[in-house]
Amino acid sequence: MAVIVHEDFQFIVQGITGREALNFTRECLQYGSKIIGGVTPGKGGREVYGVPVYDTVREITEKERVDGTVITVPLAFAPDAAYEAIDAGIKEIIIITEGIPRKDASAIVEYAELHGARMIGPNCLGIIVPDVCRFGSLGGPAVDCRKAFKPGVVGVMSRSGGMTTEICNALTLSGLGVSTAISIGGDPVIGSTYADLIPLFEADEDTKAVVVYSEPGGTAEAELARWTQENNSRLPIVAFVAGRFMDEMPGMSFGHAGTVVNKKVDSPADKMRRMREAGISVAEEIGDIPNLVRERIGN
Amino acid sequence: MAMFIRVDVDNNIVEKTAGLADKLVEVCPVKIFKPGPQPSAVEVVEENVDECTLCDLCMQASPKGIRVVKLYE
Amino acid sequence: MLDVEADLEIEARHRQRPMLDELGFAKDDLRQVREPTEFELEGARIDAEDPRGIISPIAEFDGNIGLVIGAGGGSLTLTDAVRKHGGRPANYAAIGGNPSVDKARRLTKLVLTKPGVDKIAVMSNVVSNTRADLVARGVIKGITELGFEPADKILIFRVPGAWEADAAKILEKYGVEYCDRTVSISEAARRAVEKVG
Repeated sequence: MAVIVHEDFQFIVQGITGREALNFTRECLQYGSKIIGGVTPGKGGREVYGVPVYDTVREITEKERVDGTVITVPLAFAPDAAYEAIDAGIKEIIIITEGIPRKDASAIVEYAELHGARMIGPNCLGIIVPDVCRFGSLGGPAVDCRKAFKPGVVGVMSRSGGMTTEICNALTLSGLGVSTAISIGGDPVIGSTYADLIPLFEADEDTKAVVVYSEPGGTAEAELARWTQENNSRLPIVAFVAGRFMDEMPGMSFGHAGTVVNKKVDSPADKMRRMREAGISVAEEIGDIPNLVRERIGN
Repeated sequence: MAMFIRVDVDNNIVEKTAGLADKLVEVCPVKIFKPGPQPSAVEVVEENVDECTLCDLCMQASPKGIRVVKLYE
Repeated sequence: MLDVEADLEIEARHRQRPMLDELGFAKDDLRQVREPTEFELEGARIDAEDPRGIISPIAEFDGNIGLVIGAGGGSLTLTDAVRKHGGRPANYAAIGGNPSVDKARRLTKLVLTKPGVDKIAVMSNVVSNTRADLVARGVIKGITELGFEPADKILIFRVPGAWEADAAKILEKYGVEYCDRTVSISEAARRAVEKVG
């Protein structure tokens, strides 16, 4: 079993001819993912690494089953690319593009919900189920990706794409491995939060524990803490909160767009307190995470 | 000056395939090729060479006409 | 006591230009809690001039360890780790989204020419889309353009992940030790702090 993706998951890449998309399209193909098409308006008819390029999403969905899309288009076109995918009936949508204003992001999230689509991101890297499917740009070239992500028992959710790989690398080096890793995005408004996704891990029999990476800003950690308390979750959770230095710098924004301490609930100290109260273990260092997981799952 | 990558172009070969020069210009994500100096030939834009992402699309377009060399190997 | 608190979203500023003009906000006035420094403004300029990848937010601190670090979350974690080991960061940076070689080069020069900075620590989480080889190219270019030897200026290079084999070869050519993924973020920060003295 796996979360969101599966062995036969087939997806497309919107913006496939861009510098970044070319990179991860090749990487996903090397990893064994099924990319059945790409879209760049005006470049239909071309091919990149054997993947046909189309002008519109519908040209692909009319011919074939499309389970998901990875959107990495220039900022100004990102909302329209998302609407195009949702209108074409695609249900799993990853938005990598960074810098989408909150108002636009909120509108896309709402549109996706109305149409029964799930959106991951924006400002994320996507999903990986080690050795099963890579959906997005987590992990780099297949050879480097396999070093960081080995199949295992720990689910990972992270507000930082880079730290998703860092944490999975630590879990892999420790021998625990990764069941499914999801880079959820670093923006203040994202399609799927920890609390939205934790039920999927709860239902995944491969997942024995979950690790979350968190940052200053927002209420996502408080919502996760509430969810675990209200639902009597079977999953032990280990959290790491970065940006503690920001507690001394209220009002300054670092890291991702969503990373700013304005209110008490935004601060690392408050997040750690709420999560501990909900029974979530909080790691001092990334390197401590595997041992905390082992303690919690009794392994 | 490029320190890490060198791109060799054999325009004798590039010129022989119709449309290849245009394709090379279009396919490179970091604009290493520009048209010229003769029609159907390409020139290397020296200041962009170190931006090469080793995507291989130029070599796939012209396996004999283009060679990308890593100067650190 | 505050009467009103308004949150100005940087990403949407361009849409509110007429209103901001009316209120008397200069173009580069981001209304952070303090005025941006020249170092921070130059960092923002470097970022704005090339859309490929990012290096910001850039912030100036008063320490002595130049940080060429990434990414969004990695930079937060690394800054915490440097401070935990008693180091004093000279700046904050957040390399992400696979910046161009040129952008990494300009960031390196900006940090290395900051008064009080003699050496830089080049560190990141295990990278996915950002490429270790492109970061290595940019950092080495920046250092050599300033007339220095890369091995004299780099405290540590800990950027494992995408294209790490090429990054290792580039660094080897310039005599810089490459730290692989078995060196943790905390350990990398500790070594950098120890070397800067």
